[in-house]
Amino acid sequence: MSAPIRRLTYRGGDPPAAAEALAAALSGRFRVETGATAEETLTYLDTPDHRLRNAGLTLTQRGHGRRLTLERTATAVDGDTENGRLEQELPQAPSWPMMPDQLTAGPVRSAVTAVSDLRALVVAARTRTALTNAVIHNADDKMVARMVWRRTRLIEPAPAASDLPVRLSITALRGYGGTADTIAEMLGSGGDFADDQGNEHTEVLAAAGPAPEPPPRMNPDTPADVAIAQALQTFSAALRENVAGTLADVDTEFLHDLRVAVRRIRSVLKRAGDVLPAGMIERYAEEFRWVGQITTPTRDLDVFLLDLPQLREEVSDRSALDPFARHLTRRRQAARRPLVTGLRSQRFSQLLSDFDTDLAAVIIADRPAAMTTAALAQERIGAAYRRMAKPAQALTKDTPAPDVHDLRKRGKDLRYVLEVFKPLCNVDDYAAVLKDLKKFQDVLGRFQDSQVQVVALHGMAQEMLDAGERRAEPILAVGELAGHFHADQLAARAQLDRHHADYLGARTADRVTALVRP
Amino acid sequence: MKVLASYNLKGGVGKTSAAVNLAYLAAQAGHRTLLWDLDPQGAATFLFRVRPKIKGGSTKLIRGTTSIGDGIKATDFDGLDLLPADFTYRNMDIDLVERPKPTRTLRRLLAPLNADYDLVVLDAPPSLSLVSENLLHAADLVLVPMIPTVLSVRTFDQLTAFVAELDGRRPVLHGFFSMVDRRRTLHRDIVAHPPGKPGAVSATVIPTASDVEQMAVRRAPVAGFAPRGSATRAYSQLWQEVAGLLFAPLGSTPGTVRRRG
Repeated sequence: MSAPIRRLTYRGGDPPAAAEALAAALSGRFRVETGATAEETLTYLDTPDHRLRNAGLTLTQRGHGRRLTLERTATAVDGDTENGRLEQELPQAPSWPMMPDQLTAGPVRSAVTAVSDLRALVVAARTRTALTNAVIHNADDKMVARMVWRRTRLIEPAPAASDLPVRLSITALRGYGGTADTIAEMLGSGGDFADDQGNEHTEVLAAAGPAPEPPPRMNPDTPADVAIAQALQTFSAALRENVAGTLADVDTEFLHDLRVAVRRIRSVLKRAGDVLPAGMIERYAEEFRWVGQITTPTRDLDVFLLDLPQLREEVSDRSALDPFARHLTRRRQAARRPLVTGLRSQRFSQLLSDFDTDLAAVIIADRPAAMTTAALAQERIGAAYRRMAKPAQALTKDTPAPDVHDLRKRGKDLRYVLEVFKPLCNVDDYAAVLKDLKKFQDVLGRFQDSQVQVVALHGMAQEMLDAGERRAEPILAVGELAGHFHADQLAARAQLDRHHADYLGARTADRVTALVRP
Repeated sequence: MKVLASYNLKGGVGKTSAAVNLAYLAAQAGHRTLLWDLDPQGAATFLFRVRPKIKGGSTKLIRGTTSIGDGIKATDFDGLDLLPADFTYRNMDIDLVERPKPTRTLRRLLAPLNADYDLVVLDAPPSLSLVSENLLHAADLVLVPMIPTVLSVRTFDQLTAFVAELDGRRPVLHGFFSMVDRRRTLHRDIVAHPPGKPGAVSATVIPTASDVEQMAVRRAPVAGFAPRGSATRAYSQLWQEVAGLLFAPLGSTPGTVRRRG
């Protein structure tokens, strides 16, 4: 029958003084009777890359309970402002991190998985709130409104220096809406209290850690070595961010994102590292190649495991792939051991430390620029394009597979170079070039990945036999998969022969020439 | 939604004390309860610290111009609301007489509250009037408090006869003795020989107790400030009995209909 009529915040600096300010503001007409204070803990969940937050969603767990609450608390980055609140009771208290699809089926899981994709839910923040209940009486000592004080403090990831603003919510008793309006106006007129325009959830998440800073804006006149060092710093930071999650095996995307960062570093070193001080390419190219090597086996197995549900649809007997699934899992456990050893090694930590130190030295060094960033961009984008376009135009159905694979690597180099120099490029031409390149890369990727998977499947079938698999069905099922991948490979190859000129023809060449703004 | 009325022709017998305390106990038992103070004296309204005012007064309320829901106030007790008295209720008979089927008006006014409340308690003024006829037609159970005196008991018989002659829907009458002083011989004798048929008067008696007098000082139901007192125990026992009569299984539900012969 009653509904909250006003939410206020206390604008003074000292939370304990808020109660006195409240009593003073209402004195003469109303009496505040303060009740007990209870504490509650709220855990905020999100993916490591803030997908829920970017979608304007907040997912919370109260205490160590089984109830999850999903609320829309902000406008999503795509502008969606639909309000809503969903709650779901789980059969047991969850422990974090957790993959969203491990939550019990329900409205919260459905809404979260629509946003989270392959990412796990981790603890983004934890707060402790002191909740004090109070009632407000009129001059007849009649209760006319209920009030709740909230004093919230961030306790995780790190205790905040100060509390969030003290918040009040005033709920009129039925029949006393007008009186509660009067109360809110009296509180507002004194200056100590104001309408609450904020949202505690978004304030908590902001205090817990803002969204990562965008990379420094690239200026055409920036010395080329500084621009390249800044780009590499960004990729290095991305690599570091994903180490802990990779080691803890929270979800597969940590390793994927770590490897993407490594590939970007390697491409930029290869295609533009010559502007950096002598010796940097030689040392770091080899070291990051090592990082790529120790991470590849696990990632390849991750891809198989992630695709396994779909792969089961490709064979005549789904259950025949169960031994294969178990084999993949054992292989992955074994592959992770050198990965974890490597990422925990002195060699790796020294690599990151020295790399960041050397890049920082380039950025702060005060020396005359041999070349501007715009000139470098023009030169290196053109070079990367030609390195790809020439062999792409010579592509036939008889081009050996290794050459096709090499073409794909050149395509990745072009793509990473384009990403680095994107701020200097014409928006429309950039989008068009990238779109064509992506289409071509997708076809090359299907061709190469299919071939790699066929080889891998043959190898794993032999391993299963060596490990004692005696039944024909599991081996035949793996063979069926290999057959499907081979067919995929042929289809991708045929697509390449017919259409490659569309992706990298004269039109693209013209766009590349005009890409960098003068 | 059930309707319980606290009513007697005679004043000062404990109608308001019964209405207030039983409404409180019903809410405590989990029933969403509304107490309507129909007495222009506004005693129940005073006890709950509510100002005796209905916007538009009795006339607009009876006509339906003012929504009955708009006049309701929450009390300080969870689950218990109050439709307060207003001094204009002194003219409610005049307002009622202008309505179609004037003796059924209160029942019609209460109908929209069906989804919001489990129980409505009516605290009626001591009179035999159009208001009280409305109350008798609206109630499922009429609780008749009596002081154990000859004149007070006589009113129970008068009321029983009056209800028996009502057309249409008739409530169940259930008497009980209030302000009982066990030290007095007359009180003991009358309590031992209650009026009406067997079972028409409750075996539960409400004793004379200073706690009940303190209700007006404390401005609260007696169970709210003296939970272990004799008066609270007695009202609690009475409530159990009333709840059994009101919320009984089908076939024994109060509020029988007399068909015209």
